[in-house]
Amino acid sequence: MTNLSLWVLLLPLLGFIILGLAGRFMPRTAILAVGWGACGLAFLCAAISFFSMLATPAAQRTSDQVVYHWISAGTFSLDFGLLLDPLSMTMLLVVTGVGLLIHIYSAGYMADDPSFWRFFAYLNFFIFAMVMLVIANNFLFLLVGWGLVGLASYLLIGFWYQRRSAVAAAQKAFVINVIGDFGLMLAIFLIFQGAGRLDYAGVLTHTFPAATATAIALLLFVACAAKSAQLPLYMWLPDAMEGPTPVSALIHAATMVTAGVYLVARAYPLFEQSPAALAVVAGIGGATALFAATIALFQLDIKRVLAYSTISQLGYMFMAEGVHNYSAGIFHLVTHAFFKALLFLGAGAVIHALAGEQDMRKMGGLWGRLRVTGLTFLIASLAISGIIPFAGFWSKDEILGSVLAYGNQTGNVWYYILWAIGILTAGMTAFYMFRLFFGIFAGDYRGASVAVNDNTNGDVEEQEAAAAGHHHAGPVRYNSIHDVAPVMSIPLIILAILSVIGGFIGSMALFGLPNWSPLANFLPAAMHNHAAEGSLTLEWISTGLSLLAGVLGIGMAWRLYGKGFAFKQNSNPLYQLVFHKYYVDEILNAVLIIPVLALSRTLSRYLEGDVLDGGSRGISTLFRGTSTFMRRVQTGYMRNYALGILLGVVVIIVYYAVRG
Amino acid sequence: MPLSAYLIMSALLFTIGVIGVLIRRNPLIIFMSIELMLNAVNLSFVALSHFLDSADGQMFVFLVLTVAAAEVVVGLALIVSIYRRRHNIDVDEMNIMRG
Repeated sequence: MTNLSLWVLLLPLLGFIILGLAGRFMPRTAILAVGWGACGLAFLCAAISFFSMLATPAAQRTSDQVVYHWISAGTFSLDFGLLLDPLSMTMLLVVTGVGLLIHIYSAGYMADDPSFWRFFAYLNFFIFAMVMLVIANNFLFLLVGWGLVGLASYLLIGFWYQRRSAVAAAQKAFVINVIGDFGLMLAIFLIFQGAGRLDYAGVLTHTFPAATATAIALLLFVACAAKSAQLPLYMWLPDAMEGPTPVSALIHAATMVTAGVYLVARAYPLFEQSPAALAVVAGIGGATALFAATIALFQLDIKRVLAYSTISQLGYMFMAEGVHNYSAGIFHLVTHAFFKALLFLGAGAVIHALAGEQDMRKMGGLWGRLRVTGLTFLIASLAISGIIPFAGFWSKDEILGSVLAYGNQTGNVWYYILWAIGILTAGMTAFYMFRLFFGIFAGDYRGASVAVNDNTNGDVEEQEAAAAGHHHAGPVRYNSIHDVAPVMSIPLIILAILSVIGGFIGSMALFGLPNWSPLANFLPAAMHNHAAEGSLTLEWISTGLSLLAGVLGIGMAWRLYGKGFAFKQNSNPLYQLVFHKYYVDEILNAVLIIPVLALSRTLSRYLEGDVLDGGSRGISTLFRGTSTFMRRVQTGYMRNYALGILLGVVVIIVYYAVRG
Repeated sequence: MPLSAYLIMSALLFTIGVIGVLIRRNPLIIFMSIELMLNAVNLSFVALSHFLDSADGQMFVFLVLTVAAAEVVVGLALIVSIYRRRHNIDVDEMNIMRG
């Protein structure tokens, strides 16, 4: 098997180093050559490895390659190694492939930005970090990658650091991610204590005591929840939309936020040892899917709708992993990467065309002007809504089907409830996606004419974000709106094609064709699935109902917004609750941030100011006083020093003379 | 003559040397005083060597003479270079190290 994974890791790093050191002085074409080249060659290497892996018999597809021995201390040894198996192969293809498309798109989207080189340097750095996370063969280098993607995310959210809101969002993301990193570190400590080693090959075959296994799995899941924006650590992701839109597409939709899903799939033998932890994974996943979907129903900022939608879809993936169907989670990860990246890039194209406008109330009617964007956006919306035969249908139905089958197998009513939540969320997803679609593309253009009363909705945050927009320059006249350049539309078209056919890589068990394509058992064979085998009837019930929910959602959106989006103020308290995102940010502010800030201010004034600073001032005053006195001894007259020496000698002689 | 006479003589010479170092301001005189101190020590070395019937003390005298010669060379070189810089070799004027 040809294994080029080391190059997949090193090429983006090389690109980052070149751009980081010399990018400032390079012309744009050279920046693009390095940025695209690094990512494109990495993708090429990944693709070559992939095809070579496909040609290998399924049993020999795992390659654990040691690059160098890092630590060897007593019985403990740790290598920097690359583990290439179907799971990491899939992730590599997604990361470098979607990454490449977004590199290409960014050339158009960021064309006017003065920090062009910095953007591509960070993008290459992110690809490197993510590949490191995915390809590491032990938990320690996983942690390294885990931390580095957090750093890349921080840098890219705060890319427009002149904006206060972007800086605040970057800090929020970083702080919440560090909570997750902390969980991961604790889990690694426990793993080391229990197994005495950190490489996957050793740890994942080790049997831990039940309590330890649960603790490890739950701590790992804390890390996953922070990275993948699950309850209760999801708050950073909507704010992360402050970053440039290609960043939202790459990091905060397609790849980095799926690291948690990857980690659960990678460490599934640990989760298998703890049914309680898996139940938590499934429960949190389901709760997050529903919770985020409800918020997405009423958002007005198009990128925030997509952000909440991402959180919700990640919830689906965890739901699948919670019922032992790890490959279904990864399958949904792949299809979601296609259509969610496409949705974000489409939203980016709209924002670009409207000179920075993100408020749905000031859009509408763009179908006539943005034909390619509209069409690809429609395909992605259909895919995420789970309409047959688009990609999202296959993966979402595999998840819902396995949840129902697991409920049927265990007879546990909670899994039926989870399944119902999944169906409900599918309907909501279809509704908010088509609300968004109609809001952007249907009806009449509202940008130039309709004055939106900003004061009534209380959504000051979005207004500020829009007002501080990077290149926001007031409303654009309808006739001057142009569809995006080919450099941006080609990635859209490729992703749209993938969103249509991406689902066919799964197994078509629904139609009795479990082995129809060479890819059908690529992942499941490697994951030793413990998923419940449902009957075909159950699968069809689940499929039919989710399809129905999707169609109903689209229908409702069509009835309400088909003629164009109109924002209506609604005083219904439930509506207000959801519209304000359950006041989570406000509650956090009141419960956590304001008391902490008050405490910090008090401490900095009294503890640091009076006690610590006062103490050090006292010490310095003492020394200064002493030295003012003592320096008189240094007269500069040689005779005084000579006298000092003489006196010293006399004292010593007298001492010895007296002592005898 | 008894040994004590040599030692008292040596102590007197040494004290004169010390006082010279402490009170004179001309570095050349200070050097002479230092030589005086060194030779006071030499005197006691030689006297003790004689009275103890041992050559060790005389060996030390040669050592001291060598060191004294080297010290004078360095010291005179310093004085010359200071004089070139300041046209003055009064040690009380050289007090830039005052705290």
